[in-house]
Amino acid sequence: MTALQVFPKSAYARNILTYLLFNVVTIGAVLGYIYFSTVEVIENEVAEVVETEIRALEEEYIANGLRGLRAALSRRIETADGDAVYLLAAPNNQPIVGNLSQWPIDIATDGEWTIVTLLRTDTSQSILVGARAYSLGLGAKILVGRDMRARRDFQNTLTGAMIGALILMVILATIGGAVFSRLVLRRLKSIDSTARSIMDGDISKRIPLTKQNDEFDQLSETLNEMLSKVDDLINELRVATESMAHDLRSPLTRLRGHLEQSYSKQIEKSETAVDLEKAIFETDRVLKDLNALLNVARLETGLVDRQMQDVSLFELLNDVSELYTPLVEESGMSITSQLSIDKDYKIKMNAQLMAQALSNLIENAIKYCGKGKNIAISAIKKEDYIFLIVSDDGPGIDKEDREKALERFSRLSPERKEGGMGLGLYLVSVILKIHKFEFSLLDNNPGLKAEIIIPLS
Amino acid sequence: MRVLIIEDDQEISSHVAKSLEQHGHVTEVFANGIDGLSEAVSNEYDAIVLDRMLPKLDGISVLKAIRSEGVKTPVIFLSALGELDYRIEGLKAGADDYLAKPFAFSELLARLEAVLRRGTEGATNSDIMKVADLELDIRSRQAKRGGKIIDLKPREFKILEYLMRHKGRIVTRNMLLEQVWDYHFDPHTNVIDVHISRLRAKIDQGFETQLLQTVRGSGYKIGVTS
Repeated sequence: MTALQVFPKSAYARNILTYLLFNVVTIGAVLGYIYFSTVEVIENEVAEVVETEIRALEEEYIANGLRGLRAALSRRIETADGDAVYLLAAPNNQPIVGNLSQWPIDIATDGEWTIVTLLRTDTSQSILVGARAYSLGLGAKILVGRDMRARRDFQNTLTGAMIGALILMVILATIGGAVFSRLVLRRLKSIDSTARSIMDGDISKRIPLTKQNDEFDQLSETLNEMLSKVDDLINELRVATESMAHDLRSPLTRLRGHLEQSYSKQIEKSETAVDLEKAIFETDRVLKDLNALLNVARLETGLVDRQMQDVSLFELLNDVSELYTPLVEESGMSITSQLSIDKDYKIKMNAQLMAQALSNLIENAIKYCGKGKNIAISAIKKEDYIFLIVSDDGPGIDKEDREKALERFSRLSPERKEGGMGLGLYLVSVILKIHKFEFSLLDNNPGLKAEIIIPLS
Repeated sequence: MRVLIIEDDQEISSHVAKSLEQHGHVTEVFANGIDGLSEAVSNEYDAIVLDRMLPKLDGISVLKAIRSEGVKTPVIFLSALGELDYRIEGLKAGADDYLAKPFAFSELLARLEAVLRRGTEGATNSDIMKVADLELDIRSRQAKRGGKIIDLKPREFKILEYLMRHKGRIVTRNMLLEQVWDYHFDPHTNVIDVHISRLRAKIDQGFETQLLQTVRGSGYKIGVTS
């Protein structure tokens, strides 16, 4: 039940996160592809242009010699836009013509495209240059390059745009995920709240359908059909329970009647009278077990009056403990109660069922404890809860058996002959479940501690 | 007294009839709701024993019809469905008492006598009730025996009051649990017996006549044994 309560919140967050992650990864991959291909294409293009230019200059050199080359270079420098970088240098690296102050040391003359930082003579600033260098005949060297700042600027602009796009993407994906999740969860919530009402005993509740006739409606319809089936089954169970009660109890009543009639005709304490008394006793035991069984079945299916009223817990506990005090004392035990709650403090409960649950707990303690033991009833208010405890210092129940003790038909010690169908503690747990009070069996060191936690809200 | 039994289980009705006749009552038995209803509204009875599940017309409808006809005869409602909600349903429909099957005939007898007296005597409203030399003052909530004040706890007083209101008649353990504690479940222990034996120790100890008697197989009775 608690899992269901937590579920919508975490699923909501998880949906958004998944949606977001998926979007970020997808968009990130697309943007990355665009980024790298764009940047690479631009750089390749520049490298190609430089290559073409260098080839032209080489041809000029072959045709018109160094002088022709120098003239061509000077022309180019004059006419070229600000991005072009040229340098013709002597074998000793001494610049001959060009707009670079000196031959860069870290560039090889193998024609490879290299990116270097250079100082331009015309603008006298360090710039990032992509360049190719070749050695000409007679040891002269030529370098042609391009100022890469523009490319870097473009790269930066592109990066900025992409980060912006990504941020926008994250925001949109979060909103989208939230809206989407809310839509889905709202439908789930209506299913959940219906399920809750049903768990609370209102089996007639059905999941409301929208007009959209979508998958959710189809699911709801299927669930509603299932609920109708369950409802029918419960009704069948009700009818079966009633007829079983009628069918079994009537003959048992007749049997008891026969026995009673015969018993009344016997002389007291005659052998037959004693036998008949035993037979009546056994019949009553069967009847009691049958009653208990039907009671539990009817309680569980919500067929029993579950009306809750404002009840003073203080008085309820006092009444039950007062009812049992003489019996407890007669059994050689003692009973103490410590109620630190207000006498007039009212709690919504079904007084009959709660009294029955408490009486079962006390009778259980009487049954299993024995002489000299004490039964303690206490009620303490802690924050928003009342801790109602019925404990004893008897043999207790082993830790691994406690869970089992709350099951239907559980009898922990098969050698016991007291009978009963092991419904006592189960009935208690059913009653407390109806009240939505938490119930657990704990170790009283020594003994058994039955703890009932009553929420006050 | 005349008792009308409306019950479709022949064996049960004949047993009820037989044991009532043994105790000096006159009985009529009807096995379905319609016949039972027409008998109930056309003839005078002192009490009606009515089953819940009946052929033709169910017990609740019979009961409602009887009451709407203005017949005020005390009704004990019988049902194999001895749960709290049916008890409430039965009482709401106008039953005077409710008994779940299976019941001990002595239980039915005790309850029947209780409602019969209620019908004829009316409630015992005088402030002081007496059984032999035992006196119970309802107003001052004091019990005396032979002029000597008996110190009773509030619950013991209630038990004694209930017994004395039904003096000379059997009061069952379940009747006590229902009337004195307002509990409608079946305890699995002899929890009532211990209360009675404590009360007995207070009112009978030291006196020659034992007033609070155990009726074997049935319950308790206060009075002087004849």
